[in-house]
Amino acid sequence: MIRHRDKTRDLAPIEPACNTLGTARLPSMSMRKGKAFTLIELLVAVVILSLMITMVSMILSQSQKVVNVAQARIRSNGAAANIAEMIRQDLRSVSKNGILCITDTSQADRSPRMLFTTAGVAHSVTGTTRGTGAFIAYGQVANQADAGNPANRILWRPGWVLTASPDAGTQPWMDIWQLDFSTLQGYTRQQVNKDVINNSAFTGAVGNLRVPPNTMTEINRLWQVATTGCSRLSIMWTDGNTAGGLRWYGRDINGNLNPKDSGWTGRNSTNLDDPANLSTPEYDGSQSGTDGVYRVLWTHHNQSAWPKAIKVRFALRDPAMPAEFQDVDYEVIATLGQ
Amino acid sequence: MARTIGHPVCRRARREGFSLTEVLLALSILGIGLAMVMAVFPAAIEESRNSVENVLGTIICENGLSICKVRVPRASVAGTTLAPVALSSSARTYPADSNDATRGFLVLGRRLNVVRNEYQLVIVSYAKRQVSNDVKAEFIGKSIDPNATQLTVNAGQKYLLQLGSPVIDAATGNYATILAVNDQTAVLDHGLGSAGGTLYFIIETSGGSPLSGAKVSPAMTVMVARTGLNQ
Repeated sequence: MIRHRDKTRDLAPIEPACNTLGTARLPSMSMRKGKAFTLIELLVAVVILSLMITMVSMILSQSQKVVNVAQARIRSNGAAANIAEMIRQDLRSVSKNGILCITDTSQADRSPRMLFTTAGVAHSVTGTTRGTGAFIAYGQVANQADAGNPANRILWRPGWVLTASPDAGTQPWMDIWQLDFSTLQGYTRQQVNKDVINNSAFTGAVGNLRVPPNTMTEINRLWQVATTGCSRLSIMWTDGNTAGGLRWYGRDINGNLNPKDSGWTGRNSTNLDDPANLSTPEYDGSQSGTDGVYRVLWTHHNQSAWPKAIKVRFALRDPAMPAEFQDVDYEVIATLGQ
Repeated sequence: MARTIGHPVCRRARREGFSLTEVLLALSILGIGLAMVMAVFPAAIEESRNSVENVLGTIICENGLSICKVRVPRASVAGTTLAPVALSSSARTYPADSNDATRGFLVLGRRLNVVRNEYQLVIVSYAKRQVSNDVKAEFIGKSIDPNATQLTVNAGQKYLLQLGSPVIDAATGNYATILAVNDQTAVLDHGLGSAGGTLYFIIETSGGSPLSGAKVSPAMTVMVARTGLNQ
């Protein structure tokens, strides 16, 4: 209840609070007159309280922002840690009896790519077939559910079981490659290009990737997805040259062709299918247009020249992150199985 | 007499509501209470930040191991007790070959069996306060009880005791983490399990000197690996 101050009453109360003997007035009267705040008192209190609430809410708001960023970073770091572990495990299993190929094309949604063979028992995800090796690929492809958004591209990680005799009962095979190491070892570079790198199993699967999925087929294809929201990807390699620091070759995360690329010794860029040149890795940097910018191929012919380590750098974008914390870069450096 | 004042009962009767002073006092107490509650938030945020950094620290350590395998010559890890392994600043930063990153790693190494190409590497990932600073492993000679969870150093070595710093036994590669510091004594998360002898601490330096007033170590994660070296 608000009591309006009455100046006249303050200066000269009409009714004295007490009589001259000092005895109290009737309780009911004193309660009624002295219980409430004045308007000024309430206003001051409300203003002070408002200031305090504003300060507290500002602190809480800032804290919430920090917590949100931290949570998004935890999600992002967790995804990156899983991807890092997957890359390391895959590269540890690399078999030099097969191939390692790193390509970079001018097609933004199909670049760069790395594919390699791994040794060891491999199981089909979509069927019951087992093989003694696998084709593994990494690349950045468009998410067909959001195809126009470069920030929502997919870090693509398909794996195909290598076997010459797949289980007939599991067709259609989605992750089986009818090939074995002995056949692969007889391939020329042109055959590798035609039958592996440009095979529709690689090029065609990309067009069907959609996250979130709409159909059962798309759900089945989710085993190819390492993560969505991969806004940038770079795959580089090193031959172990430590002059002036560890040398990395290939296109970097900003899309620039590493200047050191031209200094790569031991590469072979002429007469790529000449058997005399098989002992050196095949490097084709002359490609242009839709076909690509460069293509590097290592085979069992030049095992000693395979890269010592691969550097995969990728940026993850979490839509829940504030703009200033988008596109967090991660880097995974993994040695190849020797 | 128009108004009678001074009688206690009378005064009480006139002041049944709160005065401005009382309200201000109450608000002050409320403010102090809120301030105490708010003091909890930075600690929670720090914990959150640590958990974020730990995941990244693991990635950096594993990258560090890969880099060491590729470019650290076996001959440079000659001792049987841990010693810093020389790597250029750019090689130790994350992302690799970068000179403008605050994160990175450092390596201590010792040989286990040269014939079998076995080496022990202790890789510590870190986050510096400034790009221009460096992080180093600094050691002291110190023997402690294998089960002791407290470590006391000389007055001149107090700067080594920083929260979160690993304390690494150079003879075995065992390490414990500093949980609390009280002047010259640090509380460890567990005993080193060995008698010590030479202990390494991870500190940040500026211009070659320890960062003055640093209470928290730049160390993020520690990885102890038994590995072969390719060079």
